[in-house]
Amino acid sequence: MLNSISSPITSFNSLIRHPIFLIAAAGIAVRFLIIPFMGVGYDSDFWATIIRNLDSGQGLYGLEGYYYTPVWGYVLSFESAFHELFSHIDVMGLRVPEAFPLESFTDWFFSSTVTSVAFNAWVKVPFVICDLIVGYLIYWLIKDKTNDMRKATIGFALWFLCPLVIGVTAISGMFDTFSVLFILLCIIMIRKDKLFLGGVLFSFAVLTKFFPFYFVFILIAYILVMHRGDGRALRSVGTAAAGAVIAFVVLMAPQIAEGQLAESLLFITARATAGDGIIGTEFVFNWAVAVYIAAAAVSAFLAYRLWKKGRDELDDSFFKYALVMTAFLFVYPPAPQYLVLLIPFLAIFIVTKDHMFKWSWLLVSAGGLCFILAGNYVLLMSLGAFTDLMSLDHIMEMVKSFQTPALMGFSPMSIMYYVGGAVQYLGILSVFWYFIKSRYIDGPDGLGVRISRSFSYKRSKV
Amino acid sequence: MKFDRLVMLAVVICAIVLAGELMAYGPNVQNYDADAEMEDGMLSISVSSSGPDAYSAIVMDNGEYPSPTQLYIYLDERYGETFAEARDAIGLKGLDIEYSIEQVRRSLNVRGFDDIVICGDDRLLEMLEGGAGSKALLVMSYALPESVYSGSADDPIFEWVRQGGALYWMASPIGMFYRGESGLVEVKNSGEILFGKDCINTAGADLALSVLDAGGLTNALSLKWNRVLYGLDASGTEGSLSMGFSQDGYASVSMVPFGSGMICVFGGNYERNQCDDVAQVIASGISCYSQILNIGTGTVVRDTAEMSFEMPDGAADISVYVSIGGYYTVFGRIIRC
Repeated sequence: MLNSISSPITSFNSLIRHPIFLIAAAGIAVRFLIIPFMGVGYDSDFWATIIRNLDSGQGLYGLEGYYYTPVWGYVLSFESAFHELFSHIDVMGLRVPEAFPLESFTDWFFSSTVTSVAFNAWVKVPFVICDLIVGYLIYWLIKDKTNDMRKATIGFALWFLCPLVIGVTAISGMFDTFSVLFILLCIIMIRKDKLFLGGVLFSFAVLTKFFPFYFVFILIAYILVMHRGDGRALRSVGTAAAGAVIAFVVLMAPQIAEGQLAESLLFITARATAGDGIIGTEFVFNWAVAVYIAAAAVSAFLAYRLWKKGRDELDDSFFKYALVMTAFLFVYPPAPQYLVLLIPFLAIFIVTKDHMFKWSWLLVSAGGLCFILAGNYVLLMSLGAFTDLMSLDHIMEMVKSFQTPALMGFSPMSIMYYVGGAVQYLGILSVFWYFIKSRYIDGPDGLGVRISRSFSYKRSKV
Repeated sequence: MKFDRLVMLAVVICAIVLAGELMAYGPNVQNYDADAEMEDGMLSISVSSSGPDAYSAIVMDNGEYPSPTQLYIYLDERYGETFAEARDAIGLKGLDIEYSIEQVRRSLNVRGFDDIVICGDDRLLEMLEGGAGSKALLVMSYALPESVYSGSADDPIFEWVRQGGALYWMASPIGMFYRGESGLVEVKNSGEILFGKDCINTAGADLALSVLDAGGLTNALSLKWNRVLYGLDASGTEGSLSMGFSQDGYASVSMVPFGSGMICVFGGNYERNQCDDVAQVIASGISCYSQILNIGTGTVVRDTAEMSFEMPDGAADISVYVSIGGYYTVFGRIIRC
C-alpha cells in the first residue's frame, strides 16, 4: 500500500511505500528495457573506440576518436577498468556488412559499426545512476526550497520520467546528463556556502560539456549577494574561483603536459571555426557563435539583475534566471541531448513557481524524443546483429522504407526529424513566451502599467 | 563537524572522475602479450590479456620476401601549397598531413611496430638510393617530389620497389601527380604506367558493399574501412592479393607484385578506421608473397590462451601476427620464428 505523496520519508520502509519509489522503479525499468537493444551506433562506436584507445595506452587524445573535453573520457576510463577486471564482454562491436548500405545515406550519421548488446548495457549503466542522482538533486533542491514532499516528488518525476532524458541516456547513450549532474551539485554547494567545492564542480561541469560555463556570472552574483554585508563577498568569490581553477588544471593536466590542449577543446573551438576539412580552421562568423556570444551577454545581464536583488529574493531569482539563460543558450537550434540541461530548471520552476511551464517541458520532451526516434530502425541494429529477435534484413528493409519519400517529397525519417526539431524548438521559445506573458500580459497591472512602472522606477533613481 | 551527505556525494563523484584520469594517464593497468615458439615442426602460440578480449593469430610463411622491419613515412612539406590544384582536378579531400602521419605512427606503435622514420623530400631520396633491404615506405600525400617520381615507372621510387621495397599508398590515386619546380603536374593514366592497365578508381564508387574473404584475412585482421575510391582493381594481376571490401572490382586493400617488391594501395579517403586498417596490414607483415598457413581465433579472459599448429616441411620464413581486441584492436605483435 502506497503512502500519500505528501508523506515524509523518514526510513527505508517509508521510502519504499512512497510514490517516489514507484516512480524511480518505473524509470529504471523503462531504461533497462531499452538500453541493451537500442542505440545510436555512430556514437557508441566512439565510446568503444575511446576505451580501445585508453586500453592501448594512448590516452584520450593520442589516437583519434575523442572530441570532447576530458571528463566524460575519464568516466569511460573508470568504466574501462571495471570492464578489464570483471566483465566478459570480449566483443565491443562489429562492422556489419549487411548494414553497409546504411553508409550510403550520407545526410545522416549512420554507421554500419554496431556495438554489442552487452557493451550497450554495460556502457549505459552509469547513465542510469547519473539520472537517478540528478533526480535526487532536483528532489532535494525543491524540498529545500519549499519543504513540500509533493512538489519535490513531482520535480523528481519531471526529470526521471522525462521522455527526452530517457531517450538521451537509454537510446542515444549521450553523456550530457553528467554535465547536468555536476552543475546541479555546483549550485547546491554554492547554496550551502561550500564555495571551494562549488568551484571544483563548476569546472567538472564545464569540462564535461561547455554549456554550464554560462552559469559563471549568475553564480558569482549569487555568492556576492549571499555574502553582501558580511565583508566576505570578494574572498568568497575568490575561494570558488580557486576551486574552479585548481580543478581545471588538475583535469587538464595530462593534455597540457602532452600538448593536446587544442584537441581537448575541439568541441568548443569547432563551433567557432569552419572550413574545408581539417585544413581550413579560419574563424568565420556563424549563427552558433553569434548566439553563444549573445548568451554570454544575456548571462552577464541576468547576473547584474541578480546582484541587485536582496537575499530574500536571491534563490527564487537565481533559478528563474538560470532557466531563462539556459533556454537562451538553445536559441541556436540544439541537438536534443543538449536540452537535458534545461529540464531540471524547468522542473524546479514548474513545481515552485508557474505550472504553465509544463507545456514547455512537454514540447521539449516530446520534440526531443521524436528527434531521437527519427533514427528509426537504425536504432535497432544491435538487436539485429547480436540477437535473433529481429533480422538484419528486416531492419534494412525498414530503414529503406523510412528513407523513401512519402509526403511532398519528404521521407518519414525526414518528417520525424523536422517535426521533432520544430516541436522541441517551440518548447524552447515557449519558455520566453511564458515569461513575457506572465510579466507583461497576465501580470497584475497588465502591459502598459508595467512599462510605466519601469519608467517611474528609473525616474526615481535619477 | 556535521556530516553532509551531499558534500560526500559530490566528493565521491569527483573522486571517481579523478580515478578515471589516473587510469587513463597513470601506469597502464591493461597488459597484453603474445609469444610464439617453433619446436619439432610445431608452432606454439600464446596470447594473454588482463581483460576479456577477442584475438586472432595469423601464421604465415613469407618465403623470400621478409616482412618489413622499418617504415619510412613521407611527410610532404608542400602538401597545402598545391592541394587546391589536386582538389580541383579529382575532388581530392584534404587532410592534416602531419596529424594523419602521427595517427598512423601511433596506430603502428600499438601494434608493436616502432621503427618508423618520418622523412621529407631529401631524406626520401636518400632512403631510396640506399636500397630496399627490409624497408617499407608509406605515402599519404597526393604528390611526390620530381626527384623521386616524374611520371615514369622507371623513376627512383619504383626502381626501389623493383629491388624489393614495399610501397604502401593511401588517401589519393597512386602516381597521379608529382611536384616539379613549376608546381603540380598531373600524370595521365598512371595505372597504365605502373600496372599496365587502367585499374585505379579515380572517380568511381567509394562505398564498398561486398566483403573479400581473402582466405580469412579480412576477418583475422579485423579490417573495417569499406571504401574503394583510389583503390585498385587487381583482378587478373598474377600474384596479387586483395583484402577488405570490394565494389565494382576495386578493393579497399590491394597488394600487387612489382619487380621483386610490392605495391599496396588502400582505398578511400583518410579516416580513423582506415588508419587502423593501414596499421594492421603494415604491422602484420603480410604481403602478396605471403603464404597463409593457419589462422587461429578465439577469446581470452584475464588469462593466457595457447594454441599450436603443425608447420609444413620447407617453410622458410615463418612469422605470426597476433592482434588482440578484434575491431577495437588494443595490441598487435609480429613474432618472427
